[in-house]
Amino acid sequence: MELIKDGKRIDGRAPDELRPIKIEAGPLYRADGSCYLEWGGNKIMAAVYGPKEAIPRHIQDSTKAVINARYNMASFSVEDRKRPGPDRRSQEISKITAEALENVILTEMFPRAVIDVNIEVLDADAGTRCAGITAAAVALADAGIPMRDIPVACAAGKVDGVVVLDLLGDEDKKGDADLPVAIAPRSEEILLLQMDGHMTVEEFDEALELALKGCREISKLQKEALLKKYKTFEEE
Amino acid sequence: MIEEGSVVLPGDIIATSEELFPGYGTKDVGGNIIGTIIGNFFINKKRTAAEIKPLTSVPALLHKGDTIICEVKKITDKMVLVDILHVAGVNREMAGDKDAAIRVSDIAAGYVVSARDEYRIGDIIRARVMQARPAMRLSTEGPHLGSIKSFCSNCRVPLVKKNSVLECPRCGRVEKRKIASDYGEGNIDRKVKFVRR
Repeated sequence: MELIKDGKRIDGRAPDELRPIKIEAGPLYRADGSCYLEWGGNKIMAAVYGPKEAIPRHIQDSTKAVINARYNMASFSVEDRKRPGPDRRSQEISKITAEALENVILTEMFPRAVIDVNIEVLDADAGTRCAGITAAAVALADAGIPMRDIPVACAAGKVDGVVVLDLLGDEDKKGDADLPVAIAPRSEEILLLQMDGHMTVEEFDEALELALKGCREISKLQKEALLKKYKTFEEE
Repeated sequence: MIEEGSVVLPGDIIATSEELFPGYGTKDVGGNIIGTIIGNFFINKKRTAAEIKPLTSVPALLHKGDTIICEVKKITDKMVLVDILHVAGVNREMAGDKDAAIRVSDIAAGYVVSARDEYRIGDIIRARVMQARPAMRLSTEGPHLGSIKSFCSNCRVPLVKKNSVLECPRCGRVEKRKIASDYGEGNIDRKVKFVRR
């Protein structure tokens, strides 16, 4: 199957083009902060609870808050039914999400507390870890949790020998490489960088630059979503 | 420096550290004062600090002077140990450790021989924060502080206020507590100002 034809990808996008993204801040009434994100075929709901007392007590840190991220894919989120509950992949994504977020949250302000970040994947079409981090970041800002920056994530990769931005499901499965990146956009500090597949050093540099470009675009959308909610709130 | 009153998001540069000190909702990062929460920027002229008036709800951190609702967990002669349940006027769970203590001398204005005479395990009390860090110290001195709901030590039925004592509606047992003026009314969001001894 040809994934790139006449310089266009299977969904008609250019190699450096993102899928359409829609971000809504604060859709959940009972959560301290929440976000609903649609990114191409991905539909993600993120909710933040806390900071609150960390239970059981042995997980408490007397110097800072603990970030407890939970990434979960709904059983109906993929074509074949996914067996519900945590698996190897979702445990890994939960861990890397918590570590990415820990670097921007001012955890030292809340000793002995825990901040629960729940990421629920309702519909999946490649790039859910990036979408999850992006949604969780908006939910954290919505929860009023102090952060140095609003983190943002985006993936780049290689398909049919061409470096492309924001891989689609088929491109992810049949492509040559995938490179998810999360950054703190103000300083462009890298919070997460993973890679699978093969790329040359030049291709890697190109893919990283492309992913950073994607992150910058998505960061604007995150800020617009937050301002949309709170500017109207302020006017009322 | 950005204009006062403008909406700031986490990571937005507000000013440089030569211009202002970091205050509530801001942080000094590499010589720049950045916002850490969503809100309106203003200058605290008294402290020459950049501060944020939050537009979102913010995590409930306790400060000196806050009024709280707590449950008695353990009593000794000199100390009442409580779990903090709620911060008055704040619609969020408290961040961090919920343990706190009330010393016998902070229970009431008069002399209290033993803390056991004033509170019992399971009492829901309204207290004021005397000290938030490093250890939480509370006080129930004042007419509006003290028990807001107590239970009969015999049958665990909520006690009813009769004059200045509490009576069990089931077994008729009379008990003494340091009670708040609005005992039994369930006002958990009432804030109490500090009254000097």
